[in-house]
Amino acid sequence: MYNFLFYLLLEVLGVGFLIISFSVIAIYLITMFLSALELRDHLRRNRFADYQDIITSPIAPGVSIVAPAYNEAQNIVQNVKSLLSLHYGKYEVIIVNDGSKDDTLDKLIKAFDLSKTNYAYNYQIECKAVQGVYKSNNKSFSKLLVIDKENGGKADALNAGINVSSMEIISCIDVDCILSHESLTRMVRPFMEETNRKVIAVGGAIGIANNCDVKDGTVTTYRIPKSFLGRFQVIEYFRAFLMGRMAWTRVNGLMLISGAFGFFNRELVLKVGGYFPKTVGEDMELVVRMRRYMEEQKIPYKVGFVPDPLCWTEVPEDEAVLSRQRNRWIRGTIETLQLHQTIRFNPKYGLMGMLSYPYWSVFEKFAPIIELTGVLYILTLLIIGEFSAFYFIALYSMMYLLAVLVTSFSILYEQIAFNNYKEKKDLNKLIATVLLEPFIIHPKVVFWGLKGHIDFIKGKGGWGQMIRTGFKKSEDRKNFEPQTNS
Amino acid sequence: MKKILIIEDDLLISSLVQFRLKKDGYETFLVKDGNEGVAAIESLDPDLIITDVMMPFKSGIEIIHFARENKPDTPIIVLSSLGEEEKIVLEAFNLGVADFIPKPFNPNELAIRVKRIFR
Amino acid sequence: MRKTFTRISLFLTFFLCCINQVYSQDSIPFTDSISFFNFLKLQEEVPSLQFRYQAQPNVLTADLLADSTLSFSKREDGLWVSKAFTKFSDWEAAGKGLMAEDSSLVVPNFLIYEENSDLLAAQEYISNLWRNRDIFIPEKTPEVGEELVLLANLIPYEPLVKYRFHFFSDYKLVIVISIITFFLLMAIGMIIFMLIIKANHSRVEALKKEYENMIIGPISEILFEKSLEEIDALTEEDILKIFPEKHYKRKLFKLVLIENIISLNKKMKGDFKDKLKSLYKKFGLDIISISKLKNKRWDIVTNGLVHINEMDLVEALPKVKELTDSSNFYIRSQAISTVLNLSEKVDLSKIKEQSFPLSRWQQMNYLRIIKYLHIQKSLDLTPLFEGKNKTVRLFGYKLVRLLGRIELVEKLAEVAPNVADEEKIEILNTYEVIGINTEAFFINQCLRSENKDLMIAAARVSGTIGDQASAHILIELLDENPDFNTRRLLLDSLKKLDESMYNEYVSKNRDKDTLRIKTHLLDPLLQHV
Repeated sequence: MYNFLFYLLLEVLGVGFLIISFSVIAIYLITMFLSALELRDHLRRNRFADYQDIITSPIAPGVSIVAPAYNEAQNIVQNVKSLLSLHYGKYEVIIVNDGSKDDTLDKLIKAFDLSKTNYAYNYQIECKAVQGVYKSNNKSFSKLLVIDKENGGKADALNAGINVSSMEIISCIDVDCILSHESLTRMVRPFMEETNRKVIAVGGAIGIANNCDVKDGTVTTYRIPKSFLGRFQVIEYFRAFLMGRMAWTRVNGLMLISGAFGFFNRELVLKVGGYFPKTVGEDMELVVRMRRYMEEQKIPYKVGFVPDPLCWTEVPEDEAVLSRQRNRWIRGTIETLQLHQTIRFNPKYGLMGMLSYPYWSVFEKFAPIIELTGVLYILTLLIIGEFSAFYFIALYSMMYLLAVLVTSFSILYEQIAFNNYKEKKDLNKLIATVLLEPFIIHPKVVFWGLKGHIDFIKGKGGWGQMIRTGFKKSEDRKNFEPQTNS
Repeated sequence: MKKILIIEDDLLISSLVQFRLKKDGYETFLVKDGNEGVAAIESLDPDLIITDVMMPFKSGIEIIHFARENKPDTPIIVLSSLGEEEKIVLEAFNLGVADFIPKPFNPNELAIRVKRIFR
Repeated sequence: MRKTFTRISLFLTFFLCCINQVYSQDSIPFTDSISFFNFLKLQEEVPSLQFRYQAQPNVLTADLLADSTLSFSKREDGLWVSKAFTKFSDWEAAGKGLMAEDSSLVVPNFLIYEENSDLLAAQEYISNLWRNRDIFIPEKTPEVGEELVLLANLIPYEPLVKYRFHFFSDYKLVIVISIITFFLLMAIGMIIFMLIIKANHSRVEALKKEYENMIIGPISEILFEKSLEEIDALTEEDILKIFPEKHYKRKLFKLVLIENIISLNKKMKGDFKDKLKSLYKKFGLDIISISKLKNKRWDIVTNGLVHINEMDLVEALPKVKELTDSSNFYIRSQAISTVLNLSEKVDLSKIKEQSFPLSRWQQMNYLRIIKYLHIQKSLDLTPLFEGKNKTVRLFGYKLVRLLGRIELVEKLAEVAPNVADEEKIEILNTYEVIGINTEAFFINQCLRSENKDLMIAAARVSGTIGDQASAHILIELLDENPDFNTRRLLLDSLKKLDESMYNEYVSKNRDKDTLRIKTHLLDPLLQHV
């Protein structure tokens, strides 16, 4: 009897894995196709767009950039300076000092000639106590507003900033992000284009700045990171932004906008109560909540996405830091999905309930568990001798080739659309990374995901310490070569 | 010969302006971003600065600030695509720039204004 | 990659081996009598089969007849037959030399189940046994050291997995392998494609840069040195003197020319614009732009429209007009912009008739054109106030303030009381920017609106263009204990409107919020927040 049950279980698992494998293949192929269409349309739209117009047009919406800073003293002044020199007419920069333990605030006060104001702060969205609102005595920095508050985490800091924002669109970014000068004009465009749908949020692609030349907060030369872990993240980001999010945008099912670079309709953010500080996945949670709100109010809406390389960030190349980041991501996903269980397979929530949510549950949330079960299943079969090595290798190599194919496609998209990495050497290195990734990094990612699940079950929370490697090549090389013709 | 520094990230505009001013017999220097601009103001000690407002690295306003502090007597002409009603322009005038030319502009007009400043 | 490839080839070989193994069970191991006897030699004994010789009556010598091992006897049909052997080797040894003499006279004969049978019948019988797997080729024990795969090949086929369902039966295998091959080819193709694209990209980019450098100098020279008439008089030959023919004829060169001239045209003013337009036609770029309108791709059509618009190619106007009803959003809005720009008389009716809502993007484009046009041509904005679509009307109100058309305020005042709240907000904003202080009655009406958005908009503008009555309403509203942000706004407007009433209010109301707002409003750093 037990024998029979054991084999029945193996059978059921076998069929389950077969279905999952084939749906993975199907989903990847569909994703490739949809993202290609979306990218093509995007590039075509860009061909005749005059972004210069948006900078000065009185019709363009204003943007409030909200950037929380926690122990950022090392680079804060430079980062804020580059934020203040973006090419856009109507915008403000709100830096929220989230109770830093270092001299972040002092540096800001000194560099920008700030004074504490008598700002009548209104806690429209709840957040930790604000100790002061600072503005510059210098008119050239009139766009800048600095909030000093008690430490409360990233989401709490963003909420504190949103409370004082005054523009139509808020842009939530990581303060150490390097923004392209045209980032605002490009990101604002989707908000301006729709006619019969309300654009509630627009996400942007994020590039990896490690090993790139950065000069005064602008990337001047693009190079791929030196470490394998860094390169892996380059291709991973390509895959996520150029394929995944583009495809989801095509069907208007995007559920995640990266916390490092996202634009939101301010009014709606206030309406839904801002970020939820209790979760580690505050970025995804907010988008899901905003979408939910729109679905519930039955207002047609759209979540946009701009794949142009506009925002660059340093990613952790240290395995311990990366593992913590991934651990947090998966916990964020679990928490968000947990918080919004009601939309699962709920036709009331349209595409989000019927497609996006289930997809996230199976292929993002449970992916590490499914992969682990798969490995255990195959091991069992091999041990009891019920499985031929041939099938094992055949299936494995099929999945391997699929991974290679999909990743190469995303690199191809990058090459066609933006071509940032000019060196041919870099491309070769990326291809090598694509081939090795499934063996070297992927098992680790699965492992970190599993740990995230365990930590979630244990009820671990908080904002993991993110140690950045710092700008290694940020020194100004003032090699001044004026062109003289006289 | 008068030295004119042109700080402008748009190569088309700057080379056109340079061409026009060279015809009038000025020595022109071209730099394409705010950082180079600041460095050039120090090293070249130009007789006139023509600068854009929106540029990579440092905005025109920062450059004006820098020039006012370090070379208070050097006249500055601001070239900008921002409309005249913008706050930034008022600010530029408050800082004491000699002239403001909105884009689109006529290079001949620019040349006349340059001549006027040097007279 | 190479590793994977070898692995795949290994699978394929193994797969083919499996196929062989399967078929070998069904094919008969002999084809003619020689291979048949060889087979029998291997078998030695076959169940229920006996071997003997059969001879014509006259061929048997006395010696043979006396041979006891063969012991011939005469059958009733007159033929002589030997005794039956069960072992093939015995039979073969006994008849040594007998068959060789004349095979037609002495032939092998068989007993199957004791029944007389000839060669054909015996072959038939053994084939049957083989098919039913009753006999096998006897095995030689493989020598130690021979490869395992060979060993495996010798073992008769048997299904490997007992308890499996038939998901992995062979045709699935074929599918799996074809998918693998497909992926493999795709992946290889992709990488090659990528490398080609990469090389191409960098080549085009380098070429573009080169062309750009080639173009800027001569163009500046023409613009400054030549008058418009001189440019108009330029001949093909003159042009080829400026640009080398081998480059000038190339498509990419023309593309770079178009890009540069258009971008210059945007940034220049006065006679330069005319010169650039004349150059555009001289270089034959107008033909390229107009021909784009016929393209199937919407982005190329739109691109052509943008060029026509920028370079004022009036001759294309009829074609552009056809496109204003295009179903594609981008073509439609760009075509309308172009028509607005190129028409002799500015006609906003095209915008007025739009049934689609106007996106901000469109509004921005139209504004750019209208802003430029309204200086030269007289422009009637009023049709927009009667637009079918709310967004069109809102755009109209917005235009009044963006273009500073003070004379239209009367018209606005006429429509204002009867429009939707959203439109009222837009009109209020227009009043404020233009600085109309004759509409306080309307503002006060809006201040008392139930709609909070409208009330807030009215409160905001009342600070600059309200009257004494507005101040009283503001105080009334303050007394209704509004939320913090509204309170701040109301106090701010009241302060701007009537400082003494404001002072009176804040000295009477000394609650915490009011005090905080009071200090906020006094802070010079926060004046422009």
